[in-house]
Amino acid sequence: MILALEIIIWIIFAFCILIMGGYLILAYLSYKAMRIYFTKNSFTNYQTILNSPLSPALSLVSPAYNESKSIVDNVRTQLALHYNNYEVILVNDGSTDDSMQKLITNFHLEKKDIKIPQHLPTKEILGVYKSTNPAYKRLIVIDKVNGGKSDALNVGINAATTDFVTCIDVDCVLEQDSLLKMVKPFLERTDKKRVIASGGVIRIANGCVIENGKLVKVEVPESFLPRVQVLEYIRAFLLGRMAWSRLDGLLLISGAFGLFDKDIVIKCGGYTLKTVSEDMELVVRMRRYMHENKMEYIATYIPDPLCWTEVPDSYKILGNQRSRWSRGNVETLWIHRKMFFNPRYGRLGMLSYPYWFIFEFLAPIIESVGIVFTLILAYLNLINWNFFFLLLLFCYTFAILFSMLAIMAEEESFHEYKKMSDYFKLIYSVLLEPTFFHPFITFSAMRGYIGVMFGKKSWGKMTRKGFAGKKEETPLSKKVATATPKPA
Amino acid sequence: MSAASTAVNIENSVNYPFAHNIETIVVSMILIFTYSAAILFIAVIILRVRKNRFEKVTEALKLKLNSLIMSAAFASNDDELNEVIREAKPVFSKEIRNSSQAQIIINEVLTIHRNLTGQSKDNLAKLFHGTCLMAYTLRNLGNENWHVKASAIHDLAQIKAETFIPKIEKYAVHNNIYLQQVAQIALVNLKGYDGLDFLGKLKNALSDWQQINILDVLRKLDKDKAPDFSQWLTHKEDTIKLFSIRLIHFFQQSYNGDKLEEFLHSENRFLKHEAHAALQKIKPSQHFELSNSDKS
Repeated sequence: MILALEIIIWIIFAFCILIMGGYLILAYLSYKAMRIYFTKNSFTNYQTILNSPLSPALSLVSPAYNESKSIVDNVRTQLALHYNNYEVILVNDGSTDDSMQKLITNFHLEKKDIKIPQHLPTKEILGVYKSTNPAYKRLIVIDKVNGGKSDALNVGINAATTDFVTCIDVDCVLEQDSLLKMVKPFLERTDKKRVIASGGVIRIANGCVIENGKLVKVEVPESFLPRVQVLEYIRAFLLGRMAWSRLDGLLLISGAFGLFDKDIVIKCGGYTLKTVSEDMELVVRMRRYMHENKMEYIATYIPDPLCWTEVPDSYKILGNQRSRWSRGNVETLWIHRKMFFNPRYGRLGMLSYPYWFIFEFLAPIIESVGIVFTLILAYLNLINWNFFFLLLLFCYTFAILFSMLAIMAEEESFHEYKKMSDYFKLIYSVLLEPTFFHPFITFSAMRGYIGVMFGKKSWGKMTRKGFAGKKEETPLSKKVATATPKPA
Repeated sequence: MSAASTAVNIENSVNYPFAHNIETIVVSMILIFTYSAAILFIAVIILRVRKNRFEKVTEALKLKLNSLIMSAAFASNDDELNEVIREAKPVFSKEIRNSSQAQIIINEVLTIHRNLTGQSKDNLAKLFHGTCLMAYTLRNLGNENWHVKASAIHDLAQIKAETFIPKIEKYAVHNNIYLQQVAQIALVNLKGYDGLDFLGKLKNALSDWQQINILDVLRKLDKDKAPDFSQWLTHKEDTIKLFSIRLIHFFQQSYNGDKLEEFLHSENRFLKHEAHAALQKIKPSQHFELSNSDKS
């Protein structure tokens, strides 16, 4: 009995060490990748893309469902991005509010007899609208029967007239030069490797000041939950994805803002309706497609903060969001289970997928088992409490160290949070996160897994207040968004 | 939390052979993590303070030297300019305490230089040549780090330092792709259309990004003096052929239409599509058809 216990203890302890080591390796790789990126781009003048006749045309696809409060401002923001050759395709996914009416009125829309090709199967299209005002000539609005985010995105991809599609959440605030930066990896390609996707850093807009759809001041949110998520996003984007990009093992490009090779997206079948984590699933499927067809490719990622979004500031909504993310993870891993330790898929099968499986999928389960195990041992009076707290401190100090590495990476690279008080607010969150936030996230993930077992499929309710009219005195933290892009 | 569950009673009732080893390791690791986190905490503060101080120093430096730079730019004759340069020499030497400060001043001069035309632009070039700024740039050109070298090439091109063209030329076909790109753009900046000679020697692909940058410089030149871009249509590298087609298209060299028609049957779909687009533009009176499979 005691031997069995000790074996279990050692397995759990080894798992912890494995996770910690994995995180530190990723942090190191990210740091190196960022340095290379900044050195490489120190001579970059993005304005040349803006003015060039050789710049590729892009299509911005935004699905919208009951976004009435913010839709007009957000479309205006999208129409004012710094890029010459692009179209904005807004897909109204059967909104039950007055979104469509607002779009028609504000952008002088007129129903046109435009046939949308059916490269990807979608629900019925009710109408295609274009503006009578030449100022909005880039805008195409498609009204369709409700079919979910993936279906709406597929309609937008079908309607895109260009070779590259950018899929963005309509409520996100994009940096003015985001398209210029995002398209660069595609332009740097040579014939040998095809760039199939490019992603950028998503940052948290809670607490920031946004005027006329533009981010004018960056601050750390006042309330605890969004603030801790700031930390979480910095960690995930700066210390995680940058490393995976360097390792050519990127599995996820946030649904909030990603640029894709339309040809490959269509050949792969577009966004799937089978999962609530359609962004991750698409990237995995695109990569799998390229491997299976023996085509050389890369999926890239750039560390510049290109897109700002709001995150939930209530435990209920955050819990639902994280539960949905973990369901999405399980669904995606299950759909592509064939890749697990399959050398045919190279690093994708031998490294990325196993990492995702072990560190993202198994971690909440192992942690939960650990908690239950501890409780049982405590009940049986088999715990040495001194040693218990020592191990607790071990995990806690590592969590602090890793978060500090993320803050250091942020400071050295973008230094977005200028005020010293912002730094101390983040440190405060660093200290509290492992004790309050992390257990809650683990619990929510477990809820997601249980949801999968019971066949739960829904996205959950999504309500927004919108960015418009927000001033310095009115932090954005009141807005509720369950569809925030995942950082993991 | 899960690791905490290893805290089984190790001392009294049960004998765990490896437990004491864990304890030693764990305590050591806690100390390492704590010290590292504390060091990072202080490092971030130092970094912030240094960044803020650097920003202040930069602003102060710019403010201090701006009037001198402007005096040089708007000097009405050579005597006045020489006087300003004489005055600037010790000031620049005194203010430049390290390489980043030198780069700040160089960037400031180049930014103003970029926004000016005619005599004022020439004056700033003379200021650059007549002070220690050129010496710093040349020192950087000899630096071992490729990005420092690239920065110097970029600066020399901006200031139109044509005498250094032979030094820059060798980097246009360098193994380091980024250094190569900066040098190629610099050459086109300095030599105009003649700067494209490197295309003939280039063995690697020319990315779309690089093509955009080169075209950006070429667009500012006199279109009538453009050479026959078809000379690179027979290059071994497809991306250089592609660039040639694009240049023929952009510069409307309709006399190269027949040569482009050959590309309508190319196995490379990019060349085929680009040739088709170019032909439609430069020979609008003729109809060029792509097969249905090509269109997809």
